[in-house]
Amino acid sequence: MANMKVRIGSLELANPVIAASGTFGYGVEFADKLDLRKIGAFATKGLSLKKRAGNPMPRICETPSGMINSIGLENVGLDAFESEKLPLIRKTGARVVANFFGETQGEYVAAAARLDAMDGVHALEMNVSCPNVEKGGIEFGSDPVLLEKLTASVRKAVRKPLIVKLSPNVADVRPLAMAVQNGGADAISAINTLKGMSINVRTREPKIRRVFGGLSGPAIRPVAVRMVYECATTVKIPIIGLGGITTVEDALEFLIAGATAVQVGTMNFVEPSICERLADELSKWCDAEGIADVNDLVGSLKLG
Amino acid sequence: MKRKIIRHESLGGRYRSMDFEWPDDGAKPGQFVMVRISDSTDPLLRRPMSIANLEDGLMSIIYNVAGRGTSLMAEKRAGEAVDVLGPFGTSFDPPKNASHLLCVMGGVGAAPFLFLKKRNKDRKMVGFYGAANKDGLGISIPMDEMHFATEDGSVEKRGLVTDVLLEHPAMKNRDAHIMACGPKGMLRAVDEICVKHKISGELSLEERMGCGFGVCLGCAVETDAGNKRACVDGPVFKAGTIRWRT
Repeated sequence: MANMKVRIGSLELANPVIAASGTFGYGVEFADKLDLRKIGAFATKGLSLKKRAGNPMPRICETPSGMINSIGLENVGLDAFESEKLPLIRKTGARVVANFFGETQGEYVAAAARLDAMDGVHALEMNVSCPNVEKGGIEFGSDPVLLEKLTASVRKAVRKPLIVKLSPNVADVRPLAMAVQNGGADAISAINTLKGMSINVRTREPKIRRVFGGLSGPAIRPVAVRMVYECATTVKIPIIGLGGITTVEDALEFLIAGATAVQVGTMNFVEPSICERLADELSKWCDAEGIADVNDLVGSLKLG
Repeated sequence: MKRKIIRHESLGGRYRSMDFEWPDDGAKPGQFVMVRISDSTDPLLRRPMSIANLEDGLMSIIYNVAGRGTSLMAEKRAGEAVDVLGPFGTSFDPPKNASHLLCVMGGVGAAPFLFLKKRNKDRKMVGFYGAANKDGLGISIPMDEMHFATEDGSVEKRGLVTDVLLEHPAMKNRDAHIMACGPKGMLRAVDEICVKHKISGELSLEERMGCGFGVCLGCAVETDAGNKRACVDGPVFKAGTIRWRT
């Protein structure tokens, strides 16, 4: 049996397959759909200090091999997460990555500090694809100076592994990956959704009420693999690759491009047990190919 | 879960009925299943489909061939497998002491009422079935009394099904109970009728769904108690609780 354990900072995962934030609820919704102890970890729905109602409907639409969503970061808030969700999550034995966000640097730090103190949260994943209300709405994740400052201030407030999830909606992801490393984060996850738009030609209305939304699913995978490769060849910290993973071959692409672990997102909606299946298939693939350690695949891209 | 298709046929017009093996008897009228169109990733998402019957180890769904996904689904043949998850959601729960059960159905929204009537054979039900035209009334339901309305006047009354409902003598009775499934405009009209006439009601909402089991938050419904999810808190909601957007 090949070694499937991977490390993200001080956190050891049983295998490199993680369920992605926003596609896995608070994990408990999946307790009857797969064995949560058999996947590396799951990332919670993005959490904020206060609960949020999210955007008006329609919030989702299907696109070729993908979907656009504009949920608007609806979540129960940290109080309800801690008192209602976390006790149930702890019972499942799952490894938990708490995804969080804020609208100001202060909110990010406060949310991170609270999650850091919660028993049952094993790592933090910071969503930086949010507008900074103090800086004219510019996204935290699109400005290297802002991002390094944010990362550093959150880093100071937490001792658990800190992952920063990068947005693909930038001209060059490499300075942002560098900013995250310089800010002291333990890992990068990439990519968040691509900004997209779809129109109902009969009514001439956008299919999403807020006009734009985040495109996810197999359609974005080549973009994601490219960005993971760019990140992995720029920084030394581990990369968690995601974007349209559907099969074990897709997961392998990310590992070979330089990802230490992968996340599976949209496909959780279609096949709720996919993370467990892919973790199992990845292990079998390594055995069949004579790979002793899954870490040997990481960044093993051969350039001609 | 892959299920073997036993029967798959046209009901006339654009409606098709699919029966597949379903050994578990747990589903209730009003609940739905999530059907995967193909093993490929395009179309990607499952489609929510009302359960039209569950009997003798067979589940039936009825769907409207309206777009690319349902057109592909229509090509599936008996003997092939279909990937189905569920059942999901809340069910119709008509009060035991209701004086009349009034079922308001729009187009393919009649499907769950087939199941409801099958499971409540001994309860008298009045059906009000509306659609744009004759083709939209393709689901045949053994109600104790049926009324029809079409927007083009091709079957019975020309106009809206809710107008036919309002003319029914049972509407004078406060102990009547209304159940409805169909397009949003119809549901909203039924909701307003329930509130105005102080009659209890249940509305089955159809929304775009990403997952069907409560995690994508794509099917949010605004209610007096905040956002609810059509897939797990619904699809059947109590009348008078929904905040309709104009």
